[in-house]
Amino acid sequence: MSTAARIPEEPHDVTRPHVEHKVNYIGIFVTLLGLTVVTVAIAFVNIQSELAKVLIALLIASIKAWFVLTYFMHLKFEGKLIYVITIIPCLLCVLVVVSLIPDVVMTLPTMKTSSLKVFNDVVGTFHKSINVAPQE
Amino acid sequence: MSTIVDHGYIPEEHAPDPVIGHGDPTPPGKIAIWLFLASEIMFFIGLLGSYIILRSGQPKLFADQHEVLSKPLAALNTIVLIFSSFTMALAVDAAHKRNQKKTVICLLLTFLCAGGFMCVKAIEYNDKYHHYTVVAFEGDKAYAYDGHVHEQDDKEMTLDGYKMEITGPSFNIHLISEHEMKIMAGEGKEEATPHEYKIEKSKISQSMWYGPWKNNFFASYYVITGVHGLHILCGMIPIFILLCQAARGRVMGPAIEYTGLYWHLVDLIWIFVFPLLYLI
Repeated sequence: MSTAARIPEEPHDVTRPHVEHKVNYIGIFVTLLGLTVVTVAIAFVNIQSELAKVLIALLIASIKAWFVLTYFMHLKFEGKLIYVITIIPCLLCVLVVVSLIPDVVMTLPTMKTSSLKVFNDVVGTFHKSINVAPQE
Repeated sequence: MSTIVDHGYIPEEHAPDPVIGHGDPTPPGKIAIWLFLASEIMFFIGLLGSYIILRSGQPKLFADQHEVLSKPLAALNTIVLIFSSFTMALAVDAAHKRNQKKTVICLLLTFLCAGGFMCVKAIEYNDKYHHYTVVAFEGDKAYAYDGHVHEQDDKEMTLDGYKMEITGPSFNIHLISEHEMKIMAGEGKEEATPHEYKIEKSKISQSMWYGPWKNNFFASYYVITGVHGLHILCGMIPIFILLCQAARGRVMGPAIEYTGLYWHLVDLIWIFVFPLLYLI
C-alpha cells in the first residue's frame, strides 16, 4: 500500500461510510434516570433478606447496563467481532461471581449478628475459658 | 450489521483491511478500544470480587458501616454521570453528522459533568477525612467517641458526634460504626442527637479517621471509588483535547466515538458500584 495515495487529513472518516443509527437518546436517558430512582427507592424499603436486597440491586443495575451497552455504546449496530469481544469478559465476570458462591454461603453464622457484640462475646468467652476476669 | 455500498471499483485506500479480513466494516481503532474495554471490565470484576469476599466474611460490619456514606450525594453523582454519558452519546452523534456547534456544546457539558462528579467525590472524601473515632479516658472510665472533628489544636479536639462508655471486656475501634454508636448512645432508640464534645489530647488512647485502615468496608470503598475516580480523571484528558480540537473546527469523529465508548464504560461501572457500596 503506498502512503501517497492516502488522504492525509482524517482518512478514517473518508474511508468508512457512516451508517445512520436512529437512537432515541433522550428516551434512554429518562429510562436510566427512572431506574436510578427505583434503585434508591428500594434501598429505603425495609427488606429483611440480604440476598434479596443484593439480587434486586444487581438486577436493576444489569438492566441499566444493558441499556447503556446496547444504545449508548451502539452494540446493537455492531458486527459479530465486537459482540464476541464484549461477551467473553462478561461471561468471565459471571464465572468469577459464581466461583465465589461457596465463600459467600459458608460464612460463620455468628458473624451475622452485631459486629461489636460478636467481638465482645467472642472475647468474653475466651476470657471465661482461661478464667480471667474481664477488665472493666 | 452495517452494509457496504458496492461501487464496483475499490480505490486503494478503500481496499479491504488485511488485518481484519475481507469486507469487515469494523475499523481497527474500534476493535482496539473494545479490547481495552474488555480488559477494563475484567479489572473491575477483580475489585468487585474481592469486595464480595470481604462482605461475605463480615456482612453485619458492611451493613452497619455503609450507613456512614451519604446516599443523596452518591445518587446525585449517579445522575451527573448518567447525564454526562447521555451528552457524550449526543456528541458522538453530532460529530458523525459533522455538526460542529452541537459537538462542542455536548463535549463541554460532558467535561463539566466529569468535573462535577470529581467535586462531589472530593466533598465525600473530605467528609471522611474529618470523621474520627476516638477512645479517651475520663477518670478511670474509658469512652468512645465517633463524629466529625472540625477544630483541633495541640491540646484539644472538638468532636461533634456520639459518646459511649466502654463497658465490655474489649473494644475494637475498627469494628465500631457511627450507626451502632448512635443506637447505643440513644439507649436503643434510633435517633440520638449528636453533641459537641471537647476531648483533651493527652487523655486519648486511640484515634483514627475514616481512612482505608478503618476496616474492610472502607478499604473496599476507597479502592473501588478511588480507581473509578482515577478513570474519570483519565477520561477527562481526551475529552478536553477533543473539545479544544472541535472548538478549533476539527471534529474528530472516530476519536470522539472511541472516547465515548470508554466514557460509557466508566458510567457502566459506576452503575454497579453505586448500589453495592452505598445502598445495600
